[in-house]
Amino acid sequence: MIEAGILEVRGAHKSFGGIIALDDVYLSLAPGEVHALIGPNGAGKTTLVSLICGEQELDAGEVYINRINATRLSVHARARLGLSRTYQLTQLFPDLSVGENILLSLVARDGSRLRVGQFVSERAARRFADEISCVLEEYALHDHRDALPGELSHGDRRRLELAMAIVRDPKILLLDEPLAGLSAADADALIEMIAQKLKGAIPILLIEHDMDAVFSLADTVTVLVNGKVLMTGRPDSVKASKEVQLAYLSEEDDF
Amino acid sequence: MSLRSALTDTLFLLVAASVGPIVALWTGDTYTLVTFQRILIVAVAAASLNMILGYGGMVNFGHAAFLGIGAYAVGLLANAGITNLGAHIVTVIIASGLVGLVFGAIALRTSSIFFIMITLALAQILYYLAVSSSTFGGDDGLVIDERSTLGGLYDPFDPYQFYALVAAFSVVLILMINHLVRSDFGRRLVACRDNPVRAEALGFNVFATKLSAFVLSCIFCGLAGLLLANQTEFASPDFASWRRSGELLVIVILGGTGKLYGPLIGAFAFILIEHTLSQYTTHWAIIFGPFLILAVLFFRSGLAGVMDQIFNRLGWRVQ
Amino acid sequence: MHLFIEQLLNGLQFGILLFLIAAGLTLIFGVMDFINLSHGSIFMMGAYFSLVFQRLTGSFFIAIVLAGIAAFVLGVLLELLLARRLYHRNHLDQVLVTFGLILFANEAVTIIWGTQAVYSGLPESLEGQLELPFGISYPTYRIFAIGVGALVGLLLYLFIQRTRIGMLVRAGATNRETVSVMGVNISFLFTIVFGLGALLAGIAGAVAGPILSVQPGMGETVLILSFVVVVIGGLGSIRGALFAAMIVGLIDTLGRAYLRDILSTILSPAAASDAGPALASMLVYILMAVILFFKPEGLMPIQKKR
Repeated sequence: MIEAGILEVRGAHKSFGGIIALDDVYLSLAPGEVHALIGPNGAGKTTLVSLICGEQELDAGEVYINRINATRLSVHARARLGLSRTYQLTQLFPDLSVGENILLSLVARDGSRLRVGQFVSERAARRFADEISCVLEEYALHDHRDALPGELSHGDRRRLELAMAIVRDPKILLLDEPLAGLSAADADALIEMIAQKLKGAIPILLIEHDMDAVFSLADTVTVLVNGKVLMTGRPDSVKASKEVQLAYLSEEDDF
Repeated sequence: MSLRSALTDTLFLLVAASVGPIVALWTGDTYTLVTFQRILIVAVAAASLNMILGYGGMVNFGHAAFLGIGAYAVGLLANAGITNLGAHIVTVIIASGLVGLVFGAIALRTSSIFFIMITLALAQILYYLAVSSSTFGGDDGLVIDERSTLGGLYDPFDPYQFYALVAAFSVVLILMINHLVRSDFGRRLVACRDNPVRAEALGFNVFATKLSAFVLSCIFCGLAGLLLANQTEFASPDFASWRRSGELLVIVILGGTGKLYGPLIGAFAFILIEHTLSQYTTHWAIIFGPFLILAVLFFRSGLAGVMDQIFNRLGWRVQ
Repeated sequence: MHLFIEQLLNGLQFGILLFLIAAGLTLIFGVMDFINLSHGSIFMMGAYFSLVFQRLTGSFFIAIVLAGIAAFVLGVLLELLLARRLYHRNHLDQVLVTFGLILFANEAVTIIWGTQAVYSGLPESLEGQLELPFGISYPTYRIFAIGVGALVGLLLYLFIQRTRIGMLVRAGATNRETVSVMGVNISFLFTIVFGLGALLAGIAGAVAGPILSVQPGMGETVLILSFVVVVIGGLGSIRGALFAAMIVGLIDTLGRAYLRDILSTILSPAAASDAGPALASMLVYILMAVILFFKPEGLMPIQKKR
């Protein structure tokens, strides 16, 4: 075996009632890189993401997270191995304040297992109070500490979710279409933030439609078409590839 | 903050618990104590339900089964000559904890409407066990000869002393439940209810969190059953019937779901309404039924919600 | 052997009764996502309506039809006045409101007819025993009950498969969005479905009256058993409800008849006669728990499309 990635998908296969969604997919996320996963609609990106996170089970193949075989592990067990993610549709705790959303993420960082002490202690809120302030400051959410997520703008909610995914100190960050639905200004700010703060610090698997964002951020790009990996390579070589252009052109024909 | 909320809780509960003796002394009628005992016991059961319903989103339509478990455990022990309160408590905790673990493990595989129906069905199993087995006295239930004793420290048949025991026990249980809800665990529970997808992605085990809450809630309800058996000196299948479970849900809603004081207020309201209406007519349910419907339709925040608003207007902050 | 066949027929009769109630429940759940505890009360009202109409018209058969119609009207009123306010609420609110209805209905019936069981004789043609092939004799009325149940079930099937409203009901159970997009008068559809469910429960009550005893609260045991049927069959699935109703009817009946004897082969007679009836009445609930443990969606869940 050559150098193993921090996230490895090996020979993933998944079908739904006879329709093959993923066929022999290999993906390797090297430490420190931003790895973009692109492909036309229906290529199997969403399926691959849910298989990596453990929301669905593989028919065949293996998933390694942080070099541990996670193929049969539950969603929370994979999260405990250091996998952290954001969702296409933002997933927050709607009935808890912004501050408490962050608090739960900090609690998760210090140990997401259930321990006897938690039944007795009610100290978490105070213990993390200062740290919450710092995080909110950093993500420009400090005016909304006591607001409910529903009261925030779409861009703010995206940032809150990103903050929650990051403050728990993950080994791998999975960003599922982080730019979807953002205004141009918000999108630029987010790309800027990922480039400045995260790139190089945390290995990122980025699923994104916006090609400009993909080619400005990614170190490696994997193209998924019809459930198969069409190619994996440097952004410029992917851009230059005839096959990839063809795959995307044929998609445009459909629309 | 936490000390203050604990003190507020204790004060509030002590006031609630002292209403009974005050009324009894005022009217000179010790029998009224029985009504107020019932309120406190029901409040414990409702608070245990509120813990999983209001904070965990679990609509347990079979919660009264654990009143039954507590009551029958006490009955069987007492009639076998074991009357020590400590032995009763330990037995009830083990029995309701184990049954709660099994029920929870089955029911929590499902959600929403399935959860409601499966908890109902599981409770029916216990109900029919009580009804049709002669060990448990069948339809007629179990007459309990002795109340729980505390090694001669108190007289269980003195109305005031017995009230004091029930009150102290209930206050401690409700304080424990309130503490659990406010604890770090309680916040996790709310998170798991609020968005299980996000909770799992953070590494929280949603199933284990909910199951822990479910089991604890069953244990608290079992202990309420222990008190109920002592108060009525009787264990009846009716304690575990689905109507009782329905009533517990009603009390939680009437008081205000997910409000710390909701169950206590709801228990006061429910039992006093029942008590007052039944003085005028045996058919009190014909008034209470429509009242319940109207309350759910138009009065969703419950009595605790209304009190919150009043207190807020007065400038106090509760909870 | 004769006895066993008799018990099988009893199970079948009970199963069909459960199906009529469960079909309404599962329809109302499938199309409106509404959990209706008061369905058992409509069953009870069906039995009482039938008694009243039998006294008024003197005909048992006309009374059953009229009881069904009265239950339909009751169901429609219930939908218009109450249920439609609750579709967008959570299941807990629906449980509580319909629980309030149960309290009201039981008490109202008690005030009007008292707590005693009411009985108003069968027509002569339905009394006595019917001789079946192989020398089996079986109560005529129970055969009649099986027949009525089968007939109503068949009509329901034709209604759902062959009519336009039936088509909408099927579409609504699998995909709520589509139906509202189709520009159908959705609230009219909901009212019809609710009324239809009530009609089935009312007929079931009218037919079951002479077999069970007609008294306040008679709907509740049946209601909970129908819930078991609906859940085992898969919420919203009529086919599942039919299948599950037969299983539950047979297991419950045969369990009560034979469990004690079966247990006495492994337990002492005293223990068997104690555990037998207890286990028999718990049997269907245990079955439900086991089935849901392995198939949390029930045996024949309908494929929901988002």
